[in-house]
Parts: sequence; C-alpha cells; structure tokens
Amino acid sequence: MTFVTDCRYNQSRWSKATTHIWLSGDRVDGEEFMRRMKRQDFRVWDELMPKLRKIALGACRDLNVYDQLKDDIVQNVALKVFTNWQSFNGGSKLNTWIYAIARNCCIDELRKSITRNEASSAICEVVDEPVDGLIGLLADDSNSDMEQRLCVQQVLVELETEPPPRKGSIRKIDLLRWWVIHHPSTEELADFLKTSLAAAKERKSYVLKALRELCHKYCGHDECAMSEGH
Amino acid sequence: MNPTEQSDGEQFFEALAGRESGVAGAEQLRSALLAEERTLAEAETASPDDIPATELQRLDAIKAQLLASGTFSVLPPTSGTEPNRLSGRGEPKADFLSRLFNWLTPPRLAPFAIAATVTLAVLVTYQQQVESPTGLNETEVVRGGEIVEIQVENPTQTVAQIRHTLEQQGIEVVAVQLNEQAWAVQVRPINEAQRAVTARILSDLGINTGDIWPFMFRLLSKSNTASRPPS
Repeated sequence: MTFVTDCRYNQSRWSKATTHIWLSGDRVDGEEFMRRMKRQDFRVWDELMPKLRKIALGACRDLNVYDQLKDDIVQNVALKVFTNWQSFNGGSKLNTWIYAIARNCCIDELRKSITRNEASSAICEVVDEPVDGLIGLLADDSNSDMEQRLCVQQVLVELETEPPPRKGSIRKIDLLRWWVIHHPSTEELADFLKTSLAAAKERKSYVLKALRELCHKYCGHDECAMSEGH
Repeated sequence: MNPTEQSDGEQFFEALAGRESGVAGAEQLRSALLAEERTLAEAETASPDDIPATELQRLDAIKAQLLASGTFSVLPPTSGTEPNRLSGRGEPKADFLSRLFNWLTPPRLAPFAIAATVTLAVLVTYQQQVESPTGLNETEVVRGGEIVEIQVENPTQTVAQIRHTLEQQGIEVVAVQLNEQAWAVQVRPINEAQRAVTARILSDLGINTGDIWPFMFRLLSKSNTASRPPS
C-alpha cells in the first residue's frame, strides 16, 4: 500500500476560499476537499463524484461535445481532479475549478476534431434547451464558427488560471461572470468594485484589452472573435 | 483611452450584458459563461442515484487504480512497500498514471471491456461459488447484482490477510474501502504462475476466481448487511 508524500499545497493560498458546495448532504468546500485529500481520505471520491460527473456532462453539453465522448470525458475529469488536486489554489470555487478542468477536456476533444476536420461529427447536432444566445451559434456549425467558439473557451480557460486576487480586488474572469449574470450598469459596477465611475470604465477597457490579447493569441489572426467590429 | 476605444468597450460590455447584439465575441463569451452558470447550478442537485450502475462500476475501477497509484489510501502500508510506488511491481507513480491515462483514453471501449470482464467473472464465479464446497466457514457468498460479494466477520481483517498473503508472492492487490463495512478488492496476477498461486490462496479462503483475471469481488461485514453498496 502506498501513500502520497509530496503534499505541496500551500494552506495560505486556499484558506481564503469563501465558497462552498454541498455534497450528499455534507458540506464539502474547497478547504474541506484539500484537507481530506491531504489526509488521503478516499471517501471524498464518492461524495464528490455525483457533482463532478454532472459538471463534466454539463460541460460536454455546453461545448457541444459529441455524446459518445462523454463517458471518456467524465473519466478524464475524475482522473485530473484526483491526480492534480494540489493545483487547486482557492482562486475559484471548487465546482468552478472542476468545470474548468472539464472545459479543458472538452477543448482537447474539439481540437482533435478540428485537426481531423471532423467538426460536424464531433459536435452534437441537437442541444436541448440551449441557453441564451447559443441557438444562433449552433445553427451554423461551420469549422470557422467552431474555431471561434473554441477560441472563446480557451480564453476562459486561461482567465481561470489567474491566481487568487489581492485583497479588495477581483479576477477578470470573476468580473466577467458577475457582469453576465447581473448585467449591471457601469455605475453598479463602480459600486461593486468600490471605486469611481471613471475607474470602473477604465477597468472594463482593461478587461476587454486582456480578452482581445488572449483571443488573438488563440485565434492567431486579427479577425478573432473579440476584435473590434466582431 | 480615447473616445473610440471607450465606445467600443461600452458596446462590448453592453452586448456581454445581453442589452445589445451584433458583437459576436461578446455574445459567444456571454453564451459560454451562462452555460457554465447553468451547469454549475444543475450540479447542486446531483445525487449518487444519478450514476448508472455500469458507469459506477467503471468509476470504481478508476478509484481502485488511483488507490493503487498512491493518490489516496486508507490501508496501512505493508512492510517493504515504498511510498509512491505501486505495490508488488515497484512502478513509479508518474509512470503508472501515464499508463492509466493511456489505458483509459485511446481505446474508448476499454472501460466497457473491464465492465464486461467483471460481469462475466461475476456470473461465472457466482455460479461456481454456489456449487463448490467453500474452504473457510467464515465466508459466505451472496448474490450482489453484478459482482461477487462475500460476507465475512471482519472485512478489514480479511482484506489485510489477502493483501499480506498475495503481496508476499509479488501479486498486486488493489483494495478500496467502500464504506465502514464494505471493501472492493481486485487482484491482478500478471502471469500464469501468479494466477495459479492467486487462485489457490483465494480458494483456501473460500473464494473461487473462476480463472478470470483480474478478479474483483466485494467483502461485506456479516454484522451489517445494510452496508452493502449499491450495485
């Protein structure tokens, strides 16, 4: 029988995680997850698996990954979560971190499909209950559109790797999430950031600039999805 | 920041908020983030009952492999076993995980093959178990759906006994505690000689492998039949 001896996790990096998830009636948040993995408590696998599976399957649906790949992706996500658990740094919620891993697995599959020029067979033809805005995008599953969606997803993956924010700050990805979900005005953003209106506008421009740089990095050309006029 | 940049930024964020259209990048980003939000909300209601039995079996197999890799462990180490190495074979953890990924990902039917093997082993073994005279009185084979289940007085002790005996012969044993009263055990002899030894040792314990490898079974506590994990 073997034991993990290389526990490099840094408590100070995750102890500020303030978000929680509920599993099987028990409260298991990021801190609890790290604590139990460090203790080599195998039962966290059983408790996390229903949620992990649902997140992985949801990511497959969100990224339009073909049905036949879903089982593989669930297994890959489980493996990555439990073999790379030390990379969870508390910068995001545990379930958001799992989703990011699932997103990465899906991107790998989509990228393989593009490489093989099998876009049409790698994505679902039908997505039940598409979310706001997705219907139109799914209507045209050309390779170009798929590449753009892939680019956006890769941008999100990279944004998710941003380390935990300094006190009083907020990560770009979290600002974007908050903006999309709450669709506030710039004044409300200023309140949220506890800053001036001008500074809030400045922050928006800064985030957009970062988005465009990342998008250009992944699209590899000036006509990327985030560029001006797109 | 010039007025053009500011206007461009405002337009992008307005589209990101869903108040404007015609900004493709913002709309795609919005779609992706909303889809993620919906998935995470749905996951809050996830239940163990959502997982089909066949999928659960495959996931259990992965858990067993992770346990063997040293990712997490509940049993005390047996003497002579080095940390971060697979018991019995001395394979480095990184190599093992790489092999595990290869095993799981490219041939997509691999998990199904495992499930089929286990199911076949169950059917054959269960048939033989009920027909053959048992070795030890303490064991009692019961039908557990898709896997052989053996009731013993003390599963943890029996697991330790099996591990001790087989690992002394260099035979890999993967044991996962499913709950307080139940264990899943997989024995993985790598050649004919090891398979013969394994079959003999398990037979002495009242367990008939049916000569199908790797052989997997569950040990349940006699004192608490309610501990049986879902099949």
